[in-house]
Amino acid sequence: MDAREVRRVRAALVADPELGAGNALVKVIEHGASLDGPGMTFDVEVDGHPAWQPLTLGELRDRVAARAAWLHSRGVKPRDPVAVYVTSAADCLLNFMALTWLGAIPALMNGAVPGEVAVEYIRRLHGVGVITDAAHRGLLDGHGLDLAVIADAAEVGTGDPAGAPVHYRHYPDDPVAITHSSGTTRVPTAVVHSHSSIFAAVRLFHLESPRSEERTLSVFPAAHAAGIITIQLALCNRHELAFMSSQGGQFERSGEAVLEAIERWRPTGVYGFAVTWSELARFDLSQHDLSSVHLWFNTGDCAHETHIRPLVAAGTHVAYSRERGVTFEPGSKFIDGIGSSEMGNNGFRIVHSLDTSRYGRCVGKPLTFAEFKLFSLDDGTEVPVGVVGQVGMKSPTLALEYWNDTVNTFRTRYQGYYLTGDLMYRDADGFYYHVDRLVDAVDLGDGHWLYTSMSEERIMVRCPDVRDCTVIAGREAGGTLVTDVFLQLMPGAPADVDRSAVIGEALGEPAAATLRRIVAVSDDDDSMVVGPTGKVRKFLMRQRHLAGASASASASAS
Amino acid sequence: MIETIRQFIFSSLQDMNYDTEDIDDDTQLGPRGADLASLSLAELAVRVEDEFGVKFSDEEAEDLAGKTVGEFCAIVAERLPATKTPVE
Repeated sequence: MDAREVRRVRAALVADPELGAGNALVKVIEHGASLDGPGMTFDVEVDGHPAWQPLTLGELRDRVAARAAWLHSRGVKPRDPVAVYVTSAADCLLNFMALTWLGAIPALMNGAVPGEVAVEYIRRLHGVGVITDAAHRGLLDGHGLDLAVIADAAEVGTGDPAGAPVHYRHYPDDPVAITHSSGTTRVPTAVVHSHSSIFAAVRLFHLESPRSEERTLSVFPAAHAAGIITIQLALCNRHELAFMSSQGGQFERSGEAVLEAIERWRPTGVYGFAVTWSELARFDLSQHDLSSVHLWFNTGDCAHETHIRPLVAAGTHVAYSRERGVTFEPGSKFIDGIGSSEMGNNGFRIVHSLDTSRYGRCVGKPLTFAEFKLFSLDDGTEVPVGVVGQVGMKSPTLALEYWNDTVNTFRTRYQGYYLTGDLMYRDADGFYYHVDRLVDAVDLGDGHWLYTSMSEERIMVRCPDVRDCTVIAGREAGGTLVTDVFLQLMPGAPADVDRSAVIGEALGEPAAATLRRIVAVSDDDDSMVVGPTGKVRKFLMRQRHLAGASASASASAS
Repeated sequence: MIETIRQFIFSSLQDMNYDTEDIDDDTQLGPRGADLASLSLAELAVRVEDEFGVKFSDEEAEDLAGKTVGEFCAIVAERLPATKTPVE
């Protein structure tokens, strides 16, 4: 890309108050970006355009306009909620942009949500239509969904771009997307984002950051907030972006797919959720050419030290010496944080590299636009440094509300803050540390708590042959508090090793006394319950493994 | 010493093919001023580290985008090792 063009376009975008998530594509063009410049690249064919072959900005606009024209001809209007239940990132994101072109509200659904859950989710949306693909269409048939438009994603792309109506003119508070939380057996929580909220991090952080010639590989699930933000980020910064579908496919094999994609696409940045880093930990990264990668970017749950360290040892970073000038030396950056649909973006940021060692579930410091308070679980007051509290967030990125669920919207508000459902403490230097989700932590009495997420981190650091770990705790039918530890081992690690001493030490007293069993699970073991984004569903695991597990946790888990 | 640092920054920017004609102490290094690209900011940081024996963390190097040339000079001057702090 021409650096002068990037600078000019970025400056114009920053100065444009109408710019947001609903119109970034057309605004970038309006502000003079070359139509031959980068649009997007997908790992699937798009309307006859081959997989992995970049769409220029002009071609991307045409593919979106074709869909906008088709949907417009079927009567989709501004403020119409339309579900998008598909597998490929292209079908998801092109329809997202087409629906926002019309001022409609795309309700993006992860293609891994089971059919019966999807039916109920769509019913609760009270929308006018659904765009779906061949793999999902049959799952929705026969359930009496009352929808005016049921569209085949392949057909939507056959519209005439010239037939697209004038782009809808968005106001900052206009709803532009509905995304959802995990949903494996329960109906996921629907969250609505505005034109400005889901764009706020791009406007307030990324467009204020130095421009770069990034070439991104996104392994994010396209249907989630991270997917939407990633396309805005790439378009506005004029980055080249390739978007993989379904986080690289079936999780157990996704690491291989991601490594192949890195070697093919040669990205400078790789974006993913925690499951991607866990899956990459199966591989000896030195056997792959990852030299193009300068940074790894994580959102959703914060990542584990065990997964980060091999990644920062791979890839390269810029170095300079008088003798050799600018060179790229081994070692990359891993940018971590924590985010959710409701938060609308990462709220924190920490940069790991070969030279850093601040781990222990440190999520870094708040991003400049976000404000956090940690509230006591006892009396609701702000906790002092070093004390764990419930996380409250104020931020322009926050989602507007839960869709059709005012009860939950207000239940999660406290003193003007959104309660994220996380437990953290902060240190004297202003760094925040995530210890657990509130619904997963267990009060052991006398001021002691069992924090399952922090326990997992401690176990993995102490057991290098453990690739991933899940700790669940709850009460058995008889009322006894028990803790189960599920280990996913590195390839070749023996399952029959007695790790109870080191795991007990990682849990610490008095939690160690509650340790009931340690289970080494294999890939085809159904002990683990994982949601569509790869996140372990501890609520369901408690139900399955701890008969009579804490009723309060069951009631409040989403 | 500030002047030495300033001169080094300007000469580095020129080496890196940036036009310094419109840059002064009040010019931000990032998009609201000199608009250094992220790799250029990283390069400027390591050039300064190499020249003056100071060290920036990754977070600090990223934050440089919001600093002016004058602020950057002051930060470098504050961190100079004692042996490298000649009296101006």
